[in-house]
Amino acid sequence: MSADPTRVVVADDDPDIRELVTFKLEQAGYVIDAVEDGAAAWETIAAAPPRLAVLDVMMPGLSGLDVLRKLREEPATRDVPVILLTARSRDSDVDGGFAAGATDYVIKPFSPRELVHRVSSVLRRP
Amino acid sequence: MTARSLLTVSLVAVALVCVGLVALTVVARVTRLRRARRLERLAAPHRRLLLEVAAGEDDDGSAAAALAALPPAAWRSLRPVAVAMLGKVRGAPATAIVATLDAHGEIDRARAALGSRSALRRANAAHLLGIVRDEASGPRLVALLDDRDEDVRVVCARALGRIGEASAADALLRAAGPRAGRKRRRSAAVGDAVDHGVGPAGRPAGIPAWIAAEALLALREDAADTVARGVGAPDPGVRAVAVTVTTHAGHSEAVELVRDHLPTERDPDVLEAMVECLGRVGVEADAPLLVGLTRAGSAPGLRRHTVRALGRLGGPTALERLRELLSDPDRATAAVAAEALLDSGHAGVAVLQAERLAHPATARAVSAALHLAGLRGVAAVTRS
Repeated sequence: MSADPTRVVVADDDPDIRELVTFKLEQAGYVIDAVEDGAAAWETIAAAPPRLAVLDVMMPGLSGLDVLRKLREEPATRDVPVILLTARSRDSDVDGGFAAGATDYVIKPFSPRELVHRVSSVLRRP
Repeated sequence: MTARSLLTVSLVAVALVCVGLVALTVVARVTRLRRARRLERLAAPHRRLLLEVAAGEDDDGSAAAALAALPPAAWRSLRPVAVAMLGKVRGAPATAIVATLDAHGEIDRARAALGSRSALRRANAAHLLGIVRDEASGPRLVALLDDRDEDVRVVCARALGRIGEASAADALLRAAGPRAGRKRRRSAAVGDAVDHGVGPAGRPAGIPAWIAAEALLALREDAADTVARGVGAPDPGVRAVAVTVTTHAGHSEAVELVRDHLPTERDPDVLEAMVECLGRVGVEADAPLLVGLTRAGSAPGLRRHTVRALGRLGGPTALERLRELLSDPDRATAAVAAEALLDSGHAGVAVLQAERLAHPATARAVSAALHLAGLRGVAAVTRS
């Protein structure tokens, strides 16, 4: 588990969303590692597992779901909570996200305030 | 001039043209890049204000007020980011961004641009009015569903979906109706006999069915009545979209109409949509309706589609018919029946297991399905 209890990895290929989520979570007191694609997310998380990861689903190269599956396969990252933040809103998409091992699922357009609540709620879980 | 010198001159001319085009492309790209960087530099000092508003960190409204007071040049640099952010957040931050756009006259300008001669401007205006959910623009966006430019029509349909006003449902359904080679009559309502297909000045009209369906699904609940009327509309394109929306929205009145119209429906696309609808949101009592379409005389595509729908529907009647179809002379249909039984859950798997023991002749399709069941993690059932 990460040494920093407030470190969160944010992965989104949309720079506006990445900046917005980073800003909001930093305002809430978290330390953010922001990356722009799935491969960078996987490398960052595998190198030093954070307390939580917020992953976009549709990213070039490795998708958020691909990263999530890899995380769940590796013993060192298996327990990292993951919130998927995505525009894919169909029931089958949500089902697929949870089936792949997501801890929570937030649909865009999203409420930044609600995202912070979801993050803190996930981190409060034992 | 000899033939050889003529060829040389031509080649030199072609080479010069190529070099010129490459230079032009490079200059255009560099200019665009420099403009983007200039805008970025101009926007940078104000970006934090926008982030505060978009993140809901502007409790006292000071950031929104500062954004509203930005001089036009600074606002122009920030505008693309504001519009992009608006499409990604909801709640109070979205409301605050809309107020900022309004303070800079963006909404008024977009309303005016709906009448622009440029299709790009009309489309951009419709997009903005959609993301700010400008209900007042609803009627003009509805009128633009008949625009001569398809991109404008599509953007308007999506904008109407975002705005959500149920009054747009009729127009969206009609816009989905056009089929090639027929003429449009704009004033007709969904329930009237409508011939669609060619817009003003003979151009192809309408919007793709899936765009119409997505927009209709985004409308408020009171659009359900219009969608239900669409199930019985004379135009098969309208019927297909109305049935597709019914499948995903599950409005009970419209589902009932699908049941009523299925036995007399002749259009193959609409029939497939109706079968899909009952397979997904129907009840076990709908099975006899579907079973009729699995008889040997039905079109092969529709027949297999119905077999899959029976698997999703489940229940004794559906399972019994699927069991019979395991020995269908058409091996593809038999294989689809085996998969449909698998899709219907444990009861279907039990039918497959019993069939494997009782009728070895059907073993191939049944074994393949049971193998698939094992791969899907219902091995405990397949071993029992």
